[in-house]
Amino acid sequence: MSSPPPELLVSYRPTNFQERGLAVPFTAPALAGARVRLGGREAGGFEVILPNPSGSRGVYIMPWAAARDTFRPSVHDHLLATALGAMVDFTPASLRRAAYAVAAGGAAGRAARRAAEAAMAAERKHVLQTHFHLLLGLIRVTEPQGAHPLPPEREEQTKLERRAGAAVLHLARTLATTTETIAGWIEGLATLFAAVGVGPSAQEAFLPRLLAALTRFSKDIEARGRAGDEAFAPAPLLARHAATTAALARAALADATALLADPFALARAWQADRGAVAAGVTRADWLLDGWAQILVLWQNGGGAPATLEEILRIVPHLPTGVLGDQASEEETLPPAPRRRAAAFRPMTCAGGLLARNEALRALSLGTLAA
Amino acid sequence: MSGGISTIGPAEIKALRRLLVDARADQITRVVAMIDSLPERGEADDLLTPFRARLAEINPPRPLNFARLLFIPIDPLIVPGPRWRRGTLGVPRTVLTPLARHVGRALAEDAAAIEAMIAGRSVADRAVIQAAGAKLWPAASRVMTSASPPPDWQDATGLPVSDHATIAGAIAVLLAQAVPIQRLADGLSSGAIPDDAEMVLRAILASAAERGSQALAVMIALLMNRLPGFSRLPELAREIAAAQDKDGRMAAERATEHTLENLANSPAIALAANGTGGLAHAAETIAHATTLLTGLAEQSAARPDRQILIDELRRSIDRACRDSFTLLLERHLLAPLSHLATAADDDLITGLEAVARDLRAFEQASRQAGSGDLYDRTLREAGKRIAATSLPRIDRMRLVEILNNSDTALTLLGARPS
Repeated sequence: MSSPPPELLVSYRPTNFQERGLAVPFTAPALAGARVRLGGREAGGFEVILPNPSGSRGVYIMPWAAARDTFRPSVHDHLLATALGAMVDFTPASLRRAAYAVAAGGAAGRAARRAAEAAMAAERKHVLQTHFHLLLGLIRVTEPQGAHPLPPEREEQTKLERRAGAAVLHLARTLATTTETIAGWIEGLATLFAAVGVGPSAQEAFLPRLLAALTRFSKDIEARGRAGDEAFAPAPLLARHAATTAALARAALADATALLADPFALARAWQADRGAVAAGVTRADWLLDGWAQILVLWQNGGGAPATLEEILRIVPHLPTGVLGDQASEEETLPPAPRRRAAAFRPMTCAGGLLARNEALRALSLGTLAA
Repeated sequence: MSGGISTIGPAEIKALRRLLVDARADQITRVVAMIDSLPERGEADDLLTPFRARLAEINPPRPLNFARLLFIPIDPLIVPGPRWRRGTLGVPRTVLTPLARHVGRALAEDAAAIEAMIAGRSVADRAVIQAAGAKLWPAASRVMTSASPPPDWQDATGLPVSDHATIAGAIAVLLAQAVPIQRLADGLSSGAIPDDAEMVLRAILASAAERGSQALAVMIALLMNRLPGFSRLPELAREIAAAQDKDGRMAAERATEHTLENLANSPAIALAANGTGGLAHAAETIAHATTLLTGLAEQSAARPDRQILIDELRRSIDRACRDSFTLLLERHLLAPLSHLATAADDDLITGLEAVARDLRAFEQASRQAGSGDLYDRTLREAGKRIAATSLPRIDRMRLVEILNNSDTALTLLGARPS
């Protein structure tokens, strides 16, 4: 049964991240730049938010079932939608992992499959590294000064395992729980902090790399705006929007990293309210969500005006709640794309656009693991 | 036949002509490469005239030289010397060499700098063409606007001196606008049309209209070929010419006649439909022709005679395409797939997906000329055959998706989500 045609919401300013939804790497040309959010379970599990569909400001919001009927999703998109429907947490990291799995299954082509496999392996490595550094941090704060001749990071394997076991036991006794529970907490926190980055190689983690790329993009686009090209007239506003997002994400990453300074306090907070800890640690992820697609478009587009237009169509709004009541519209809303002239009959076939989106997906997975 | 030859005499030309009569593709390619390497092509260039249709078929890589760069913007208007008639909108190929020599001499050091920019590059190198062309085309336009005929004009072209002003004047008008036209054409082929496209087109047409109705007609004919997706072109030309008290309607009519005649006489579509220049080239050539015809049909609603001609052309394209599509599908995709083992490496699968995409683009362009049911049937059957192969399921799904659509892929391979 076909769905009713979607209605255009011209004025759209999400108040929080959940309302803004998650950027989803659909490959079908008509679904480019789509976001998804929980809602309408009975209608397919989640809603799709499609930005600036006719080239002007506004969004379509519809249940997945309606998007499926209207916008011709690819095989990859169908499989990803099934995976989204099965997601327990609706978070950027969960969606990223679901998308890795679908791409690693080959649904977006062989290049994306290779890139997704590499991204999954890199994520596993980051989780292990984070786990290791969380244990090191715990050992440092639980052992009395001078108890061991070597700092934990230089300790040999067997002795390190003993020291870690003692630290876990100490924490378990302090918090009146079992060592198994503490081990489970550390594992959960390692997964949560893996994208934030911990220890000497923290800058190689997903979010610091994405933040660095966004900061570069903001400067690039600002420079293009200053060059005086009329096609880049919206560039200063876009650069400011990117810079604002980057500044907020930088602060959120710093706050998350600061939590690691006191493992006991972190463990107590985790024990009391995991949701609150997770919200703080993942805030940067929510803030940066959707920018990876933009950075890849910019990287691939060679700075062409048409790339800027494509980017303007999908730039994430900052939820109004993020900046507080004093936030101006200019700060939360990216510049609007311009309406395109429809005077030319396109000669590009839909299969070519899908292939291009799949190539971008592979590039995104390969360079940003996003 | 290496690059050591710097001149070529009548005896060699005679021998080469004999060789080319029954030449294989690789032999023609070698002769073309040798002629391309000559500093002075002279009579050797004439050797290629009878083989231009086969050249289009073989599509050998052509090095970029000064003359080729100079005339790339007007390529769709170039006609064989013997086919050119006074008062028509084409440019006879015979005038290219003397005019290029003339421009080269006039531009002196600038020409040498441009030659250095394009040394070792081929006609496929779009970025170099854009950069070097931006230096050459406006300057060449100025030379051709003001210059008197080159001294060897009559000998080299076989045309009277009086034809020089008309032909060179028309080329000058086109070259003056070559840079913005190229930008629009690049935007159209990449699907990224600049926002100011119509404004740019208006300026291009207005500058041509200022030079008279012949210049305007030539410009419209060129734009029809370079921007086949812009069906409002004749309407826009009429509007702009009227603002200058010129007869834009007549210029648009002449350009349309010229374009239709060229389409009817060109062997390029039939050759492309055979797939011998590659599937991607075939899809692109057919898409160009069918897009152009769709636009011309829209503009010719009040001209039943022209509608008949357009319908005839569509039928002829339809015949050429539908006859070869099934063969190409079998030869390039279904037969190789039937020989594939269960597991295929990344390069092989990626290559087959590219073939499937080209075939789909071929089909989408061709069905604009007719036979939609036949293509639907053929693709449905192909989808079923692909689904029945022993490839991994996801590879089969993707190939069926490319050749049919995602719904068919999910239905045939039983992966439709609830």
